[in-house]
Amino acid sequence: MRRAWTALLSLLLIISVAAACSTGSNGGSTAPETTEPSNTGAVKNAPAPGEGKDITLKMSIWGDDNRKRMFEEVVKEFTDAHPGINVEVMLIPYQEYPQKISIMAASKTAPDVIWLYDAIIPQIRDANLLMDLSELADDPEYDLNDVYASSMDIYRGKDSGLYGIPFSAGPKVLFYNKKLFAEKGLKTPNELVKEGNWTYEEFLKTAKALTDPSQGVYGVKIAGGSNWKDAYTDTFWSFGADIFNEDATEFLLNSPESAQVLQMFDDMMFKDFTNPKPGDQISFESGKIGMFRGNYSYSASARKAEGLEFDIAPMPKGPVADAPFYDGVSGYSVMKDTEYPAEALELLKFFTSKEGMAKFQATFPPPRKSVLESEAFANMNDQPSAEGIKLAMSEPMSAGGRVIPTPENWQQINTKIQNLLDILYTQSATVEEVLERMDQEVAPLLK
Amino acid sequence: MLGPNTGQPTIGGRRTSKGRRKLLNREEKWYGYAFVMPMLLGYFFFLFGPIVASFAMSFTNWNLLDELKFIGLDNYRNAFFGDPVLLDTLSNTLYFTILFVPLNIMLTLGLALLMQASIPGMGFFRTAAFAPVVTSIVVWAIIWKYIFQTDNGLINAVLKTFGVTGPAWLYSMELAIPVVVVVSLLKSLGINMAIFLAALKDVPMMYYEAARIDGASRWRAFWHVTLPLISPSMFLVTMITIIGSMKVFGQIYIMTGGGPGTSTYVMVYYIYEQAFKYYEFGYGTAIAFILFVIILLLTLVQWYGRKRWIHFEQ
Repeated sequence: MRRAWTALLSLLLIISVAAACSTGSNGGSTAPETTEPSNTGAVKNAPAPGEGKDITLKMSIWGDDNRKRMFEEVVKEFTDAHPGINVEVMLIPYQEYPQKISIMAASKTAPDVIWLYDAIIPQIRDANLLMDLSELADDPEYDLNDVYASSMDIYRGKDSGLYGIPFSAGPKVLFYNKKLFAEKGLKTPNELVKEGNWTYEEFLKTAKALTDPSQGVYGVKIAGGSNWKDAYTDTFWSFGADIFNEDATEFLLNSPESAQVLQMFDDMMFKDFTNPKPGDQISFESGKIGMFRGNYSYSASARKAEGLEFDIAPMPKGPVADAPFYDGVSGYSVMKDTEYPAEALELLKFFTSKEGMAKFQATFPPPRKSVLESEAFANMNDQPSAEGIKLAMSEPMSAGGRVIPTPENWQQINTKIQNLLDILYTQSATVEEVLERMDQEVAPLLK
Repeated sequence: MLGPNTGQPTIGGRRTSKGRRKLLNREEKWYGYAFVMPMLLGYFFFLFGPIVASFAMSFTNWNLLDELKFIGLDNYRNAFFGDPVLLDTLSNTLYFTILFVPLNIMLTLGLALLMQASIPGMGFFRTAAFAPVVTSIVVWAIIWKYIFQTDNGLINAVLKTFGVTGPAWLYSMELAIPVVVVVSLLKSLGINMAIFLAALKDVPMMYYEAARIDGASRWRAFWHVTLPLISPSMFLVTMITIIGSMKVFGQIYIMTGGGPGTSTYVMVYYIYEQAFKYYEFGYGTAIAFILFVIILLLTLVQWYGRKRWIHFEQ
């Protein structure tokens, strides 16, 4: 009797485990499909009988849930206009983005339409994973000439194919706290730009005048972070220094000009105390930072900070007055081995068309001339002002920017340079010594 | 611990013929396999398989995007002879372990001794010491990163009110690892404390009484009664704490990102960086196996050394 019970019990256990496993795997694979109809409003747009079955395009973004919702709303316009196509927006955290994309590419599960940023574009572009989009030049309605050519450079492969379309590009800007400037009775950066006096001397003077240790106020926040490339590249270029030569075969940072730049930032942190020390997490949103260098898209966060009055300005002019700005590009590509190339291309065109970019202009600086220079873009919000957008965004974009040439093992070089800059940030060596070490340790990494 | 007899409780005591018992045993064996099969299959598919696959990967130069190529022992050769950062990483990891493990054991044992008393309100203190264990390491590390800020952090702000200018805690080559050790200690005290508390509860009171009658001081009673009797738990705690601190990652990744410079590069951070930042998956897995061998050796040394200091083993 007891034996029979044991047998029955173990049978039950095995069945239930097996059942759990199988429903588990089914559940996993069907989950996206069952959620899609609600996304796309399938009731309204049910495909006519005989039109073939629905397809699902996957498209990757980074960011947060708010951004995902924003994308899904825009995607809905696309799916409403294209019955039979569903679009799944995949949200991947920014920190994990490159890893996740490469793992998906390796396991052939990459999204059909893929959002990439400048630091990872060259590697994926040269791994022959992306579709050539050159034919878009022949589409008069799409008007590829409207897209700033300098922002497309990074998508040009060695075979001069075009492997993506920029969706968000433009200079990093200088946010400034209008209240702090008014309290000290200082001329704002934009006023100085119009006078033609927005130079690094003025910038340093302004930073000192804004700094007020008793209030915990710092004049500026640029130096000392964990992203030297975004923080320093513009200044290197305006002082006549450079990181690599054109084709990234030579390391050029060990120069008197870069020493001058690094010394300037070092003094801001450790001599004049106008810039928070490395390791400090104080943010511009706290209202305690006079000037802050950031992405244009940061203005969405700054607008949310209560009582913060800010505007944007271009970076000051250095000795090389016509230096290009450092263009931070991100954009869309189509995976070469997508099952639905035509539909994926259609989705890419939808997002990178004039209308598509205009839909996102509040968050992403549009790399299309017609959108960037439009009235709608300049007057979208109270902050930043139309004037700030003109001076910091539209005018530099028309002049053209430059992308840092990224060698194949850019990540190693990037980390190595950041690690060596830490020696400055811990005040363990002089600027010249650090640059000398960079020369010895970075140059061999360039193959 | 389970006794050796727990496998056959169903027929205990019933008188059966020898042959019947044999048959029963054989059948029960199959039931046993049936019961462990889901676990075993899961282990083989999801753990053992990937471990073997990643060992194979350590002989390749795979970077996910290109074709993979077998390069023999090159990764290991590079690790041992061509990578100064790996040596720094190894010594940082050992430094972390040497600071962390003794402090952790002394503090948790001390806390357990303090908290074994059953006085009102003790539950609150036990919960308070255990609460960080159930907190996410990411949240914990981010909060402490803010507390240890250079000029605007809580600690340096407090020091400032006493007229002391605090150091750049996380931006100093010398202080970064000790700071992370302190943060990790506060996070993980509870779990070892709980193990010690359970062990202390198991020490029979009669030994203490006998010691007291013999005129032993409280210190001698601790040294000669408590310590030997909790030595199996001590062994367990030492082993898992060493393994845990050789694998430290989360707090390093959040608080210092390996910096400043390479002063807080630890083994798992370096594996992460090689594999997921540089896409050197082959090299990353090679380092992971070096770490595996190091931990295995440390554990074997402890395992074979345990007879010298564990006085009481079930």
